This record gives sequence, structure tokens and C-alpha cells, in this order.
Amino acid sequence: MTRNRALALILILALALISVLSGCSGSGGGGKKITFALSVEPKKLDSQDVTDNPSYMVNAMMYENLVTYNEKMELVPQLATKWEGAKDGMSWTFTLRQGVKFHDGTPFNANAVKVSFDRILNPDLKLARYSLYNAFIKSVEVVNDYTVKFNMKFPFGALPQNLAHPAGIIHSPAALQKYGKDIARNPVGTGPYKFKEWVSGDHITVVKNTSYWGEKAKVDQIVVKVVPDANSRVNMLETGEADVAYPVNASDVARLQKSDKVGVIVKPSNRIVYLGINVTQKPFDNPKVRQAMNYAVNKKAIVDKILLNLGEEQLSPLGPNNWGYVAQKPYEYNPDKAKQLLQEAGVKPGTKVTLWTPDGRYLMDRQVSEAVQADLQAVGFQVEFKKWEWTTYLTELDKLAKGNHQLFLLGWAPSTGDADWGLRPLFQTGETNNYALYSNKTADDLIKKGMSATDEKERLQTYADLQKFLWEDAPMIFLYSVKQTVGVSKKVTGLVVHPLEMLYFDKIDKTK
Amino acid sequence: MVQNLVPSSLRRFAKNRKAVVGVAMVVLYVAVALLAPALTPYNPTKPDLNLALQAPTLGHPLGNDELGRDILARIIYGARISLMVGLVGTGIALVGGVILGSLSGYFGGWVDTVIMRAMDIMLAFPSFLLALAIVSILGAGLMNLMLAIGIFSIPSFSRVVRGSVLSVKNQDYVEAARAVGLSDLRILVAHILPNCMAPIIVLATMRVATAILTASGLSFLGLGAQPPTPEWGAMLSNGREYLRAAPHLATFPGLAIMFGVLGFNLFGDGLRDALDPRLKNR
Amino acid sequence: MTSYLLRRILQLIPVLIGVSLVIFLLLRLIPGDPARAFLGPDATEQDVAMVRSRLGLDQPLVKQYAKFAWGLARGDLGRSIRTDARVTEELKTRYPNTIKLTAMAAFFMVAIGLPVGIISATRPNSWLDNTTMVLALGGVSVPVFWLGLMLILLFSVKLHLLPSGGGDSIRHFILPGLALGLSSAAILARLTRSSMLEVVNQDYIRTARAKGLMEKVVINKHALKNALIPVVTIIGLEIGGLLAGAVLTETVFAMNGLGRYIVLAINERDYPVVQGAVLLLSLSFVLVNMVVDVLYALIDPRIRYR
Repeated sequence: MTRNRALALILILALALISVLSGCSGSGGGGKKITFALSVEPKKLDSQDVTDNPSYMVNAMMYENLVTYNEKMELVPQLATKWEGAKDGMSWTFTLRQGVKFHDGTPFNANAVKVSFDRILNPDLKLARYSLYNAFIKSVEVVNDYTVKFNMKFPFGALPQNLAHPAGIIHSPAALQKYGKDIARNPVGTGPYKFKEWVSGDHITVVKNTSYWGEKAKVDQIVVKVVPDANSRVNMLETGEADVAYPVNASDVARLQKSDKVGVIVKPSNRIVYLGINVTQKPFDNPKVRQAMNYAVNKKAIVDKILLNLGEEQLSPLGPNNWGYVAQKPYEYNPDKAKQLLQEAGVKPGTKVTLWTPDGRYLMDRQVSEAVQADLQAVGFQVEFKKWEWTTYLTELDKLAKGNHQLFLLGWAPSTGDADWGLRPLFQTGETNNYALYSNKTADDLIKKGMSATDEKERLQTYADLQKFLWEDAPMIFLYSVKQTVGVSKKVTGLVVHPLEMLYFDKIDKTK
Repeated sequence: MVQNLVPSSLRRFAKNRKAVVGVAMVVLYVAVALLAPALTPYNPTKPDLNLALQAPTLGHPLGNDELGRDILARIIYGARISLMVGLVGTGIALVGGVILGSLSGYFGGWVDTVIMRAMDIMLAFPSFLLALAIVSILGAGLMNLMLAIGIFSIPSFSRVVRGSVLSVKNQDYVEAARAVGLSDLRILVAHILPNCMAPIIVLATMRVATAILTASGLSFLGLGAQPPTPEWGAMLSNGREYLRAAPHLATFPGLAIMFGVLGFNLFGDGLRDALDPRLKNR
Repeated sequence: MTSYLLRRILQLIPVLIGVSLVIFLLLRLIPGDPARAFLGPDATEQDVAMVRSRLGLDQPLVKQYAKFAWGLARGDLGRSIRTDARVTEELKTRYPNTIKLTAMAAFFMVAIGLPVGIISATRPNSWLDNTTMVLALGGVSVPVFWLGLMLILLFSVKLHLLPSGGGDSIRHFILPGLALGLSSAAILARLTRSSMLEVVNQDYIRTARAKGLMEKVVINKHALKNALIPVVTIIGLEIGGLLAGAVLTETVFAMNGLGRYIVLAINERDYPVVQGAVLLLSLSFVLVNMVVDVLYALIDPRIRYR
């Protein structure tokens, strides 16, 4: 009798459980649907106010810029049809595409361009990308309905490239007015897909924009599902729950490549991961010591065994797939030469150094750091290892004035795909990402020369010289460049994996 | 009464087979920790990339990790780390809990109220989150991990100690000591605490198990010792990335954690039955 | 009864104020700048300073807390630093998942723990009893994240039977629920057993036996009923524990619940989110305890609401 009561208790619990669980929603909707399993949830669907790639990626489904990069990193028209710089470099004039409408029906015109750029340039709004454009844009002027003029603060040749940056999107002015602060959750652009819903932490859905001005989307909706666990992403891909999974674990690539249902796209990016050296500290102020460290680290083994070939040995201070890239002669793995150089530089065996690394931020970052630690110890350094939690790490690197850091692992991917942005922030005296505290007259001069040069050949030569110089002066241990791994169902075509670590879905299609 | 508690408890303990197994496991665990260098020829922290992700072989019976280090060697040396975290963490909690709990129980009044309300607030936090918050503040690292584990266990110790002190403090011999004019501190340390030892010892043994488990959870989230320290929770967490290609990376460290925790749990269970047959529940 | 409940609810207020203050301060003690976390490594220091002022982080702590407390009093938890969305909105999508997970785990806990404990108690010190109790202790000793990984490996990767979490349907909650509920089931089994044994040794059971009642009737009618009282308490307490255990379980199974969200938000230094989520979790925790106390009083007539 009472056993029955115990049973009844279990039954009641089971019923309660089912009633709780059955409140789950199923996502319906007919037509072609792409499910995209993404590791990190976008922060905001307003590219003017974020700096993270997941946000940019999803934003790019719905928004467009005046100009953009194609897969080959060439500048191509998007909402502008043509553009022209003034002779003195003080202004740029863009002719806009006609007959384009935002998703809310607002017409796209010069006013919309001005409103969007006035917004990002408004110091009171304090948007995350404020400084990107504020650095060189003085004002935006409506010339007529379909002509807009950007006035520069100083002669500036790279405006079109910078307008291709994800933050250069054009918002619907009516939507900005309507949603205000909540625009990031209610995006309205001109792109091939329209926003449908965002369930926090779970998924974002966009649907086909049937009145798109260009070639219309081939699928009816894209569901961007947030799946932080790499094993789950791959599982979903294999069971058909997901059509695209990004990124894929290195250790799973080989197996997936053998599958007949799914494939893996492995594409180089323009990102380098390097071990920075604080050159103001002894003994790292001596280039010989820095070269020695480059000889001491077995980069090939790192690429083969830890990255499982999902990276390439870094062959220039500039990442590959950037404009102006020139590969240099590698520092071959040679511990004896390293020891000899260290001896010449007067570095005693047992010299203590500290190595800082994040964990899980870049492809195999902590594992690589551990390997580097072992390699440096093999040539006589005593390496104290410190793994940082990412936010603390960034904040700690900000306190550069103290300069108590020595070796630190970081990545760099110039969002403009250009040699200037690939090198200047890292190596110019006093620049923001110059955590190495590197300051060298030759390098500074070359950086300045490349920036102001207008002739393409001259620019190329300048950056070639700069890369060679930096390579030999070695303000970092050059490690690797990262390849992107995207798991894709064999039914899917037309996915664009861009070197700037972006996936583009405008031409994606799926067979039944 | 303390004197004749010991032999009878010992007898009860020795008769309890589970408890004996527990002791054997704990002894083995401690022995592995102490003798680590003698038990494996491999260096637990030196990478050998040529052996990366190698599945178990005769030479490396548990396989090699993502940097080619021998997993058995790392588990053996890892015993040192987890044992240290368990013991030191519990030690910190013990000291803190005994001080707070006995003050609270002995003096009562506002001292009791203040201390116990603070403990209530700590207990209102989901316990693991408290440890997580503390170690986030202090930063990753072995010392900080032990400190966080210690702080997070203080409330449970202080409650048990307070309860025992309350039950003892009004007994005749304490009254007698008070009548003779002994100081509060003296009474507390010499007369009350020794008679509260049984539940404290039992709790401490059990909390070592909890400490090891919690520490491994924190390391799993990346808040443990610095690499390349061989730490079980961290090894497991690293193995996650290779769960499909090389499942041995995540499997064995988990078994090691379980072994250590189970040993202390069995041991504590037996101790409880032996020292205080009334204390049946966790 | 009503006044008792009311008093219990009123007592929650100081505890929650305490929790809100503690979490507020703890968060600010964690090194790392929320503005830098939001902007990432590429941003300039001026950008960081700008965003700090936008978030109000340049204000004195007292002012920040006052703002938080004032919002709290009106049910407004502020906006997420990371997404700019209202924290209440962010929690709305995640909290149900944690509740579902906890419910699933509680189900496994009771469905496994209670029968095992009862069966063990009816045959004390038998071979079966000893084995199950050692197994139960084993269950308490398993790290939940490891168990989770092993379940994924077995059921999801090798056998392709169940998804490894992160979805909406009931199937997605089975493995995480099992991983989370197992150690609680073990605790419950041990407690049910010892509680039953204690009752069995008490006078009225001996009397019942002496009266010549059948063992089955004794166990079912007399023992179980009284043994259930502490069992209910432990079920309640364990449900509270399950809520906390959700942090690791949700991380392993990559579920969109409160626990994993808190870890993510701590890593991003998303102060308003952590504050809101921890308060919600603590509130649930305290409420569960309260419900247990009430149930306890309902079952055991000796306890009265004063």
C-alpha cells in the first residue's frame, strides 16, 4: 500500500517533469532552412557598437556597406556604385545605388548614409567603433539624394578600405529613430536577409528578404544556433541537425574529411598568433637574444603535432592573405645555434623569464605556449608559466606602463586586410597594440612612408622592406598563422569562407 | 570519556569492511603521492610532441596527452596536487570553522548572531559559485585554489562546531572549570573542544573528499593550478577537446579523481560509524 | 499558515539584500575591466575609457550599488554589458532550461535513490545492501563533469542514442539530468536507508512486530511513512544543490541555462548579468528550502507553525 504511495510520488514527479519539459517550442516554418552552429553568441546585431566577429558575421546577413571586399580581398561596390577621391586626398565622393529599400521600407539614400555615419561619429553615444572613423573622418555631407561626400581630417587614401570594415554598415534611419538603444536587438538593414527573432543564448533567425535589390537569397531562412561545445557542433553536423558548424576541433578534421555526408572547409585566414617579447626588458633588448629564441622554438613540430596542420608557420611579421605580404626566410629549428647566440649575448643559463598565455582564445594557444616553454627551457632559460583568464589578461596588458611582462602570446588579424593595419598597431612607437613596447627609428620611418605613399608600387616596396627589417630585428617569436575550419554538410553549396575570419551566407544554397 | 572512546571505536572501525577498504584506498593514494618519482620514469611536465595524442601502449599504459606527455606519470604526480589541495583546503576550513564556530557557540548573543548570519549568507549562495567567485578574485593558481576551497567550506565547519560546543558547554565539568576561575579561552581550548572532536574529525574527512571534488571542478573551468602542473581536473578539461579522437585523455583523470574521493568518503563513513554511531546522515 | 508563510517570505528580504551586496562587491573584486572585455584586444585605451563611462563604471561604488538596489526594488536588473539587452530578458530564456534540468535531475534522484534506499534497508547488511551502498558512495564521488563527458562519449558519440545536450526537446535533457541527478540519487539512497533503519529500531515498530504483524506491513505501513520525513527534507536540500550543480553540468553539456550563463558572464565581467542571475539562483535556492520546511510541517504533525 505504501509502496504504492512511493510509486505515486515518483509518478507525480514524472508527470510534473513532463509538463515542465513539454513547454518547449519547436521551430517550424517551411522552405529551405540553413542551421548554422556557431560557437559564440553574437553580442549585438549592431556592427557599429561591437568588435567581435560572431556579431559581424550575423550582422552581415542583414546589413550592407557602401563598399566591400570580395573573397580575393578586392574592393567591390555594394551600396555605392562608384567612388572617387579628391586630388588633395581631403575628401571622397560616393555615388549611391538607386532603388534600394531597407527592410522596413525606408528608401536608401544619401541621408541614410549621413545618419548612420553621424551616429557612429557622435561622441555622446560612445559607440564601440567610434574611434575607428573619428580618427580620419571630419564630416559627411549630402550632395544630392544619391551622392555623398566624406570630408577627411587630413589627406587619407585608405577611406574605401575602411568603409568596407564591418562597422561601416548603413542603418535604416527610421529604425534608428524608432528603436533607439534597442536597435541592436531590432536590426534593420538592406541586406539579403531580414531579422526575425533572437532568443538569447539559443538562436537568431533571419529570413529571406524578398525585395532585395541584388541577387536574392536561395534559402528561406537561416537559424544561427549558439553551440559552444565543439563536440556538440560536430554531432549536430553529422546527424543533420546543423548544416554549417564553425569552428571545428582540429582533432575532428581528419575524421570528418573521410565522411560522405559532411566535409570540412579549411581556409587560411589573415591572423597570426605570435609570442610577443617586451623589448624594453633585459636581456630582450638585444636582437641576438630575440633571434636565438626564434631558433630555439620548433615551429614545425608545433604546426604538425599541436595544430594538426590547421595552421602554417609564420613567415613574416605580417599575416598571410594581407595586401603587401612577403614571406621571409624561416628561422630554422636549431637549438645549438640558439645556445650559441645566447652565449654571445651574454645570457647565462638559468635566466628566469615569464611567459604569459591565454587559454582557449586562439587555436591551441595554451598548448602551444607549453611547447614553447619546453623549447626555451631546452636552450637554458628558466620559464615561469602563467596562464591568464582572458579579461584579466587584457586588463593586465593594458597596464603596460609598468612593463613587468616579458613574453606574451597574442593574435593579430588586421580587419582591413592591409599591410598598414597589419603592422602599424604592433610595431609603431606608442601604438595601441604594441605590447612589445617596440620603438625603432627605421621601422617607424618605414611605417610612416607606407602610410602616406600614394603609389602602389612604392607602398609595396616599402612594406617589403619593413617586413624584412622586422623579421631580422625579431621583436616577437614568430609562431603561426591560423587556418579556419568550417564543417559543412555535403548538401550545402555557396558558403563563402573569407580570409578575414568571416563566413558569408548570401549565396548559400542547400539541395534536398 | 575521551580515553575509552578510542579503543571501542577502533574495534568498531576495524570490523567495518567498507571503512577498511577506504583506509586502504587513502593509504594507496597517499603512497602514490609521496613516492611519485619512484613510480614512473617519465617527466610529467616535459612535452614530447612526437608522442602527441598517442593511444595507450605498453610503454605508456594510459597513453599520452596532447603534448605527448605520459598520462600515467601525470596522474601519479597529480595525486600530490590533489592531495595537497584536499588537505590544505580542508585545513584552512577547519581552522576558520573551529574559531568561528566555537566563538559563536561559546559566547552566544550578538557574536553568535553576527557570525551565523554571515554564514547564512554564504550558504544562500550556490556553494560552487562561491568557490568560483573567490578563485576568480584571487586568480588561477594552486595557492588561491586551496584558499578558495578553504573559505567555501568554512560555513559547514562552523555550524557543526557551534552545535557541538552548544551541547557541551553547559555540562558539569565545564561549569566546574568556570567555577575554578579558568579563562574563557582556556575552557574552550582545554575542556570544550576536545569533547567536540568526533563530529569534527568525521566532517573533516568527508570534506577532504568534497574539497578534491570541488577543486577538480574549478580546474575543469580553468581556475586551477598553472600549466604544466599535472592536475586531474585540468587534464580532464584539456581532454575534452579530443573527446572523439583520443578519449583516453579525459577518461583516466576522471577515474583518478573518483578513486581519491571515494577513498576519503569510505574512510569518513567508517569513522562516523565508529566514532559516533548516532551521526548517521551526511 | 498564511502568517507563517508571510513571515518566512519577509525573512528572505534581509538574506537577499545580503546576497545582492556580497555579489556586487565580489564581482568588483575580480580583476579585469568589463569595458576591455567588451571591446577586446584591438581597442585603444581611449575607447576603453569611453565605454567605461558609458557603462557608468567610472562612478563611485556606492553610487553604482545604489543604482543597482534602486533598480532591484522596481524589478529592473539593468542591461547586460555584453549585449545591451535587459537582464530580465536575458534571464527569461535561460532560467527555464535550468529549471528543466533540475526537474529532470530531481526525477532521476527520486526514481533511483528512493527505491534503492528502501530495498537496501529491508535487507540490512546483506550482500545486496553492501554492494548498493558502496555503489552509492561511488556515485557521490564521481565528478559530475566527468560523468557528463563519459555519458556523452557513450550515448552520444559511440551509440548515437541521445543528443549531447544544448537543445529544446526532452531528449536533450536526459543525459545532463542523469549526470547531475546521479550523485544526489546516491545521497538520497543512503539517507533513505539509514532513516528507515533508524525507524525500524524504534519502539513502536518493535511493538508492531511483537503484535505479530507481517514484516511487509510493518515496513510499508509504519516504517516507510515515518522514514519519509527526513527523506523529504533531503530531497528539498538536494534540489537546492542541483540548482548549484547546474553550473558544471550546463558547461559540460553546453546548455543554455543560468549556470553556464553565470560562468560566461563572470568571464566577460558582465556585472549586471552576474548580479541578476546569482540573485535569481539564490532566490530559487532559498525558496526551495522554504517549500521544504512547509512540506516538512505538513508531513510531520508534531511541527506547528508558530
